[in-house]
Amino acid sequence: MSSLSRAHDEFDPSAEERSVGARGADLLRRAQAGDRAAFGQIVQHFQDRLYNTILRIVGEPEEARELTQETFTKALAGLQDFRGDASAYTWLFRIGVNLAISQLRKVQRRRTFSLDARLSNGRHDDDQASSLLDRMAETRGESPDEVLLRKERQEKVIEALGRLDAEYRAVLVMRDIEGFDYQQMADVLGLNLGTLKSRLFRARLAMRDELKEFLKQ
Amino acid sequence: MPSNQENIEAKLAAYVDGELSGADREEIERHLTANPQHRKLISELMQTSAMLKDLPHVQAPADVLDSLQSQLERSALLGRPEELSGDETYKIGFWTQFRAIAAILILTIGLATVVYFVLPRNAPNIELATKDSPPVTVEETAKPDVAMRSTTLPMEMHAKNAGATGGADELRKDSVVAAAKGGFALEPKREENDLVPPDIRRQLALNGVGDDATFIIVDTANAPLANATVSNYLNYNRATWEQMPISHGETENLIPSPVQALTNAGQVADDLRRGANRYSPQQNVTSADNIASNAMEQQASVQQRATIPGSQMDLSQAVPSPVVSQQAIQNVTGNLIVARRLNRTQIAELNGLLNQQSVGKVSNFSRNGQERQTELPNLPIQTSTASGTIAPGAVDPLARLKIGDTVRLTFPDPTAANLSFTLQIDPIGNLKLDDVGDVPVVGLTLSELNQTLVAKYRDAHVDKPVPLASEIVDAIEIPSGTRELHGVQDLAPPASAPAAEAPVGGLSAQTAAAQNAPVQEAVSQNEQLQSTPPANDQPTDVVVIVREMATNQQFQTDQAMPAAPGEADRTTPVEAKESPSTAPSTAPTTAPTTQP
Repeated sequence: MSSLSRAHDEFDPSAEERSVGARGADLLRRAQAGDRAAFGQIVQHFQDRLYNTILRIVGEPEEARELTQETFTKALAGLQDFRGDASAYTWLFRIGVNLAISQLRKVQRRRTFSLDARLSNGRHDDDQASSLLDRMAETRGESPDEVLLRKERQEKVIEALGRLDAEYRAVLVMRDIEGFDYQQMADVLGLNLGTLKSRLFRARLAMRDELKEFLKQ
Repeated sequence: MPSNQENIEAKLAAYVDGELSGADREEIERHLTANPQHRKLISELMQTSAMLKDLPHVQAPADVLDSLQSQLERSALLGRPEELSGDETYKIGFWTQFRAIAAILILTIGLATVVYFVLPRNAPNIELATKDSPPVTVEETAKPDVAMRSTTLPMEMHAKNAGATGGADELRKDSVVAAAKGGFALEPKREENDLVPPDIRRQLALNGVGDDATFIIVDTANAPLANATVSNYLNYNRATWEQMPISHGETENLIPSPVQALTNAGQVADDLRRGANRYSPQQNVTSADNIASNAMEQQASVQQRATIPGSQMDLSQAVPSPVVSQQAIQNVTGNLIVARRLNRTQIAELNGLLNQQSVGKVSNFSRNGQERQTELPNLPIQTSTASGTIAPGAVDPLARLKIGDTVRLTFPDPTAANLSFTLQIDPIGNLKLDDVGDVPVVGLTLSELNQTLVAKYRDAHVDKPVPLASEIVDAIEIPSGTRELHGVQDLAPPASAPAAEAPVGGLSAQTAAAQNAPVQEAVSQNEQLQSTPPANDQPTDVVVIVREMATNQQFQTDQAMPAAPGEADRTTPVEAKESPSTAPSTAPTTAPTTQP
């Protein structure tokens, strides 16, 4: 457990958000003033995390790419309407996550995610996952069997995530994968804190049911 | 107001995340102590959360920013920043919809107007005859109320005839003109490409034949001779050409005979009379009456000319009995020879060569159906032997040289006249030529020999403009410097040329001093033509359509035609039968005739 936490710390979005938060606000102000280059920097800052969030929600890399691009397009179009009552981070994710949820609702589906398929669908996925696993194996001194077991478990987690409703996926991804705090999640999803936490608890229950065979007794 | 259950779930979620503190956390701890099964659940939820956190992060594709940048640039260039606004992109305002609907309506009405008033009417249903159709008699063609059938026109020609409101006048005009030209009843005014049946048109198009192609149609009883004549000439000129077959159906649809043209007129009239055109019935009746009347007038005109001795067309032959015509058509075979980029002079020479070789009836057409007889005088192509000049066709161009034959080569250029010599094919089949070495010639035709020697001398005398001529074949010139090679030309034998016989290919050469006068006349004409080339002498593709008939009766219907090459009477090239007004001024009225 501790090792997993350490691994995740390397991608702690909260830490990244904190580091870019102030700069993000500055970029947003410049973009609102008509500085297209500033908006480009916003895109560069947030595109990876936004893409990863949307990918974990919708499950398809190509669809995630299109939704990510659409998110930035909508953000640019609504740039002048942004009043600064939320961070740039929250603002972008509100657009992106709601696009992803809407897309899932639109097609009325529950996808079965496959890590193999996901890895084969995108060079970035493959490279990133492989390098991650390798790096983690080096860091933790894991054996090849342990690395293989970890990979298999990740596949099952992604598949299980794909079997959940869109709203459950969203809160799990935002909280456990992207590290949003409750207030950010509430802002993004437009929920009050109690409802958000309740939904998060239920989502974890559903996820736990999906992953029962991998859970320690 | 959150419910109690939601409140508990919220606390449990926060406890799992480690974010519950104070009294709430103690409350949960006490509960879990009292309910171990719930502690197990909380543990599993924590494991689930940890497993999600363990998932790798995936970077965005590199093209996200690029695509966005492209979209921004596009919107900036178009000056339409609204394209970026999400929902607005898909919203269509009322006025936009109104304008779109109005535009569609206007376009639809405009298109309908064009279709109704501009485009030809729909063709009536036409019953196409087959080869098993009963023969059509002349009398039937003259009766507009009798359903007539055509074995010659493709369907689309019928359609155009029937659809054109002015078709009657055009039909009468073109048919009469064609009849006056001696044997061809042209179709009513054709659009471009109508002359050639669709299958051949496609075939030519696939072979890249230009739209300005000239068509030479040869009706012949000896297709090999016609093909050899054409191919030899083209080889002389080093033209690019190819021969290709055409099918039976294509040849029979190529050119309608006079009687068939009249049949077509009757067919059109009959179709129109039946009111097949639903758009303008009254107009159809009028058109049908005109067409039928014209058809009858043409028929009467043909019959009238037939009764006049010495008229341009003898009806007894020009309008064959349907049975004969049918028989001839059924035995048609043919091929195409497509030659690339011949100039006007070459086309005229080829035309004249075909006529004077008496391979059959020769006609020139542009693709749009205009007869080119008046534009292309038939240049009399003379052949000569060591003993003098003989009539065209007297030497069988298909005769093959053999060992022991003697040929005489002359260099008509006055500066090289003394270079002429006679040489016998050696026992191994070669001509031993000082300048170019041994040249194998056995098995060659005369034209092939000439072609071979020209090539040899051309290579050997690049810098020496020495025209070469072989007295036993058509004399030709070697191109040199800026002089253009025109191919086969008339060249009188040198005055000092010996009058000895030169047996070639088993053929006896003949002395024909009496022929010098017409030969000189022809030479003069050709020289004049070559010295004053037409202003518009752009090279065009030439399509020679060789139609071989199994019987000669088809020829007899159109013009007095020798039954086969070699007969004595060869004095009737096409232009001799042209009306004086259409015959070229430079064309001779007679061709030299010499025959053993």
